Amino acid sequence: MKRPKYEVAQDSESLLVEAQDTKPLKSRARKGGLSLLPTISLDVLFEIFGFLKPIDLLSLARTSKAFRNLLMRKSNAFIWRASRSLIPNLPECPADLSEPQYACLAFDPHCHVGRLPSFP
Amino acid sequence: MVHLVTSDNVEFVVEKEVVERSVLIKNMLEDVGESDQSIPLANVSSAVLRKVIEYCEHHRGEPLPSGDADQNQDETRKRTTDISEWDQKFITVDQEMLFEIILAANYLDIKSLLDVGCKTVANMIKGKTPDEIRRLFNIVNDFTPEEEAQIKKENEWAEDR
Repeated sequence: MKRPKYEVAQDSESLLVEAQDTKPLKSRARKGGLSLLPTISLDVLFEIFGFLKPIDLLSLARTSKAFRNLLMRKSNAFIWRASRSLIPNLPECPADLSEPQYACLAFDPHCHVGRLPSFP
Repeated sequence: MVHLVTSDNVEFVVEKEVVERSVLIKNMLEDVGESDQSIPLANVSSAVLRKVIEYCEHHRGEPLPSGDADQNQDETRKRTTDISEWDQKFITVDQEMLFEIILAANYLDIKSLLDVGCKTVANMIKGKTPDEIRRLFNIVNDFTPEEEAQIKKENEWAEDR
């Protein structure tokens, strides 16, 4: 069994650190309850994403630059794939679409994708 | 009995069976053996630990998820965002406490409590517009109006940095 490191909580990067590394760090608003979601550590954020449907990830990716940077990175495609797996019988993402494009096309009634994908 | 000391220096004396729902503490106790020495929890305040212990006491004796749970089990766990009635009542707290409980559950490695917290946040997000999500969590909209119009149309991957 994998044992957790005892100092996990201090080590975790926050979304702000990850996404805005060139700007001075805002203090983590632990007290006062402001903007708690963006200050939470990435591993916990990924846990939350694991319960969200693709349409909710799309909405989240439109809230702020930090969330957009995190969710629109191809290296984080696993978040979208996991989210897709929550929807039964959804076909695989077509090769010529990004995961967010596919989510938009499949679930956003206001979606504008420049061209339609070539479904067989 | 196990002695725990919180970040604000409050000592809790808890039954081993209850506190061992925390995999972190369970492993610590296995490593050091029984001892009267108290375990310092530098990341958990007394207000939060009181809630965490309440949760652990209610769920005492229930099987712990095994460390090497296979993928399937993980998948079924994730498919539902249902929360039991007792857990729902338990997690009805203000947003700051909700996030503190999630952070503590993550730190203490109490998987079921982490799930309850994360499902609760996910359920708050579900079906909301970006603007409603911002208001809910006090997220600052740092897009210009032009950018905001643009991102509604653009769903390509950004460059990996």
